Amino acid sequence: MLTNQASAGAAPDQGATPDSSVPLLDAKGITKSFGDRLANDHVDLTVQAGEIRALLGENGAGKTTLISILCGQYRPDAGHVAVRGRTLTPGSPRAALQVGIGVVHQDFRLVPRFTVTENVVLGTRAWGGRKADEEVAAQARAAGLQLDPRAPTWALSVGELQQLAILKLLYRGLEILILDEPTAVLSPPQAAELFKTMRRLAAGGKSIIFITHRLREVSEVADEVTILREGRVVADRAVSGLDHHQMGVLMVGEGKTGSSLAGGAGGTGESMLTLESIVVEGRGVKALDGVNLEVRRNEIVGVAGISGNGQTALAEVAAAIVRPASGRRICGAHAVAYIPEDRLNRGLVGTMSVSDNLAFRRYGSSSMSHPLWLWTNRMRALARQLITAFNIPTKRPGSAVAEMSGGGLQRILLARELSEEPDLIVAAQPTRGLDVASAAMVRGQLARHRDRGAGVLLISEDLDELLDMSDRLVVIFKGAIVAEYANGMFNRTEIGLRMGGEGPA
Amino acid sequence: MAISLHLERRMGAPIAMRIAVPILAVAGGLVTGAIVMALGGHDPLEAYNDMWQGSLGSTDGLQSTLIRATPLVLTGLAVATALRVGLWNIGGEGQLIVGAIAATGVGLYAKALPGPALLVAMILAGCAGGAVWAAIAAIPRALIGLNEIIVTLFMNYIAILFMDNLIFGPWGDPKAFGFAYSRALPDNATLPLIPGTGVHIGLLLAVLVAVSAWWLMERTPWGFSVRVAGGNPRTAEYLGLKIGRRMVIVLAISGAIAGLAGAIELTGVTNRLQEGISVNYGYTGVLIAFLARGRLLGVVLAAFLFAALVVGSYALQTTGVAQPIATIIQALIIVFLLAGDAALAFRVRFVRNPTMPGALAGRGL
Repeated sequence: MLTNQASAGAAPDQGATPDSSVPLLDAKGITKSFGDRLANDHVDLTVQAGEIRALLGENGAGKTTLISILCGQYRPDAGHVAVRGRTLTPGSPRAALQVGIGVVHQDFRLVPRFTVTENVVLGTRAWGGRKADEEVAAQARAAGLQLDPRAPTWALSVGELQQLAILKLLYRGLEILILDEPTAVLSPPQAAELFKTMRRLAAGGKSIIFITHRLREVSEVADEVTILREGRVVADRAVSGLDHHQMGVLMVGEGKTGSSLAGGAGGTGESMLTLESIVVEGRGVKALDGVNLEVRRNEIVGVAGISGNGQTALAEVAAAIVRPASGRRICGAHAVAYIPEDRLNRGLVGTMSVSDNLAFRRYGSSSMSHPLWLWTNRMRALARQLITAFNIPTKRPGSAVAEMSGGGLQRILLARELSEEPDLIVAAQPTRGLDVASAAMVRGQLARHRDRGAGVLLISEDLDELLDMSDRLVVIFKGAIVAEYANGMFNRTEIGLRMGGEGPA
Repeated sequence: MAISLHLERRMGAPIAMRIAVPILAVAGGLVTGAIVMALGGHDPLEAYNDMWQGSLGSTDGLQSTLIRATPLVLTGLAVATALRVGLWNIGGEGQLIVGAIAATGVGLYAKALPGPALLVAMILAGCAGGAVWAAIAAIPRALIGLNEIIVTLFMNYIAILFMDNLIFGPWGDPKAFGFAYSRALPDNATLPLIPGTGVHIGLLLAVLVAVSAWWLMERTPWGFSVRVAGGNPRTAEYLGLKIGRRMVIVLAISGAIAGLAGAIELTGVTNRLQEGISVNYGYTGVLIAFLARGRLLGVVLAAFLFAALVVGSYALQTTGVAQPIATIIQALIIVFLLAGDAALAFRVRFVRNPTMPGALAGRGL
């Protein structure tokens, strides 16, 4: 029982000293698809006791799916997970915990109103109280974590929250700790502290699976690395002897360097948007840290980067939704269109109809209304027109938006934002989660408006999309623009390295 | 081999189901109410017949029902209007009372106003009183996000105590010693009746307000922007709409509607400020708005139904069924409505599991 393990301290019964031929964790042939997308394709992953294994890959490479399977949240379509040679019940988070697998999620999943101790013991049979406080304090000391067991969780810094989430796993005596992009929210000194903790834990016999997409971090802390690309394992080897360049190539693949949809003429016209030394505060670290960027008429400026490096803040500053803490935004455009990343929550109202949502930019205009009367029939007529023009998958303009698929939502947004001939288009992850036809339609629309004279800021995690569409491409890393490339100078490998935080080769 | 029950979230129930749910809830409430009566040894059919005669089946009954429905239409509208900007106004009770207080103040201190002018001034004062009372809750909600449900609710108790203070103190009627009445209002402070009926014109005002509220919220560009702000504040932000300002204005309108109910009860029914000027009208308005699915014109129907239930229950004395059966049926309707909402949101499926992990049985975590 877990609680027994917990009260007995850190060392659970591992049976006889493990035979080194049987890995502590052994996942074989893990396959999982969502709809027609194969997220994991025969993935193998082994972890030995006391090993730090990095799991490296771009967004969408299948890392999250894999760990969701390891911790029992998803049931794989094929393949199995074994711990100490025994096969795990698939799709059971409880079974995963019982054999010692635990995850520190990116959002930590703690209760802010609880004390440190209460959060640590939550889910076991113990309660808070002085005895638990002492146990938690002892456990924290043993792991070298600086945490006051009686501190309220809401008062902790991000780094401390992470320590607490780790401590929670240690308290349960778990042996295999999965850290899901733990450095994404940390400043460099906090990350260095975390790496120290990780090494100390590994030296104490714990196994750590460390998810990241920062190449430097892999060589800094990991012993072994598994690299995923498009749901498949492309490398499984020791970190030593692997340089960043090789890792970057493995992570993003080698590919084309040219741009097929790019306009060529781009970037000669007047400026539609100029950002000067923009700073936006974020959680603990700066979301944007001195960004300079210009978007001119007739060009698509692509922003490459791994998610969480300031893209959302950049989009919202560019679209004038968020005011920067410092810096200047100069907008030369008359009409700005914004295609937000989170379509349903920022941009649409789920409880209102398709025709209402399509009218958000125009309901106040004289063609649609008088201050005392809204021509709902004209709104519906406009909706019918846009439904046809943008192939929005609904027959009734009156149906609620919340009932539609991701592709449908994106088509509504595009129809509304692009039907007014904007001079500046800010598009954040505009094709994420879309079916092939919708994605192609989105790209075609952006290119068409660029050719018509609009400036486009295209923020995407899909490097192929950026290479295809951009007239100019910048790389964002930790809230700063770290590289800029003119069309024709794109180098997939180098861009991949920059996205992972590496300097020029 | 085991069969387990799965709940799946449903994206948008068919329209027929959405219309059927409130109707079935009312039917379910009536049928279950009948079972309750039968368990108590009474004949439910006879009781329902009495209720019918007492509420809708006779001229007197119908008039009583319409008079009773008037404040309920307004308090229901107050809640449904606030919902447009995404706020729950649970303070209809207090706003109604403050409206009645303000109208009484005008009636007692501006007696000199001639004829209908006094009445008009009282009704406007009632609206203003309710609007201010609601705005007090709306402003901290808009500025710092203080929960409006809690604040509007607590403001009800302040309003009741404030009224008690007035009718036991400065406004008390010396002739009604020991009763909680204010002094009587002048004769020209009484709402006229709809010609040919015993129903005061407050009913027409209530229906007029219902149509106006629908028009304002559903058919003006400003109302449209309010619904965007209420439907998704993040999208309203994205469109550059000022959400806080809309919250304050809409909640003030909502309070004005409840305050109007207070002024109408005062001038149409009680003619003095008194304890019990509201028989939980404010709270019943929440249930009515809920039964009407937040639809402004649906509120009129739902208020009429709830009024008929209560008025009908007054005719029950002869059968021996206790009068609170009306409240029981109202409550049952709401329970069935909640069950119906769950049915709209989820689909129940039975899933066959080929294997059940036996290792999990009995393991605590």
